[in-house]
Amino acid sequence: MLDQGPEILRGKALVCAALLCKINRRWLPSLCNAKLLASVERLMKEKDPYVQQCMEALVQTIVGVIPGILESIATDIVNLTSAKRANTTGLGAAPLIGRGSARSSIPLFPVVLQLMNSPTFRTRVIDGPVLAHLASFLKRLETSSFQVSSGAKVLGINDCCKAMAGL
Amino acid sequence: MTVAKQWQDCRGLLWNFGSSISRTTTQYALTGSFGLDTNKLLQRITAGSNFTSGAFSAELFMSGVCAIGNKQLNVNLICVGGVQGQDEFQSTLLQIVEVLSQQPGIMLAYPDIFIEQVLPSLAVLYKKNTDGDMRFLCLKVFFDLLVVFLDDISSANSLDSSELPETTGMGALRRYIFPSGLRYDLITLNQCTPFCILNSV
Repeated sequence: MLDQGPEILRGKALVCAALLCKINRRWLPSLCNAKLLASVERLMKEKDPYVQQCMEALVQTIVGVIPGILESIATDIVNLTSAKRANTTGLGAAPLIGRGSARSSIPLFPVVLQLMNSPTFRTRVIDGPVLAHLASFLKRLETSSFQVSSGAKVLGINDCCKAMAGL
Repeated sequence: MTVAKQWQDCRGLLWNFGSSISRTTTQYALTGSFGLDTNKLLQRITAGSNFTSGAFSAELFMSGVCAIGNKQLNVNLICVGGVQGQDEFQSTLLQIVEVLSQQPGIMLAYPDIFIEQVLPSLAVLYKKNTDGDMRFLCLKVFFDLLVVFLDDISSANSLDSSELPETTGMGALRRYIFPSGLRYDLITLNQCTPFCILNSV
């Protein structure tokens, strides 16, 4: 629809993508994987003013979401690091696994890379706070180790049955 | 309960689990280790049930399997949301920095962050990592970043030192590398800068 539809449908598709990202940022990986960014690059040359406005709305929405994602990732890293430290020292229980940990924002991090590879988004996304976040991630990697999949917990068959029933 | 019965339960369990995952579109991985040969187990799973079709096989992948040993069944469930550990995170982060290193305008706009935070961190990660690819990427990005500032210095090196603005990349590099106001001509920088940072780790 973004590539072949009439201008009005292209614009609405862009607005739809923007609203999806705004409602739930977990749409971002799907949209980026679906070559949305490549279409955006092509549509940047579109001269229709309606499409241009819709494009601007999409770009602004995604650019506005990124700082929140980085903030969440920073929080997740801190939590994972502290959880691992607690496990190592025996101060805490094993990290729980389940649907809660699926909401970690770290899987959204590749979206930042995809946006950086897009000239349109790169110039808009990069600013002081975003760079400071990236630098803090590097700093965090220097000293700490965390494992996103560290929440392994051996379950017996009965526990598994209970877990399945809860899904 | 016999092993065969446990295996039947396991298959039913996995199938139900897959259906649930398809409904909830949540990605999970089942991990563990079988007392049996892992490849054989995977063949049994894919041949004995419908795991090869539908969204289940696309979203659910097995990085290890279940453990049946001594009539004891354990299933390790790891919720991964697209298995992404520290290495993947670090790789993605380095790729992002690599993209930034190809943008001199961005680097020169924020020299303090790159010189005082990113470059030292890259040097530490270079030393910390044991993986060759990761170390290479660290070193590549490190020098890609550094060369931008060195070029910036060399292009303005003809200026009198008193005219150097402190807000530019060269001002920040001079403050960080040569805080005591040492001579910072291009030869000195070429000889010292990378080693100053790497040796300081």
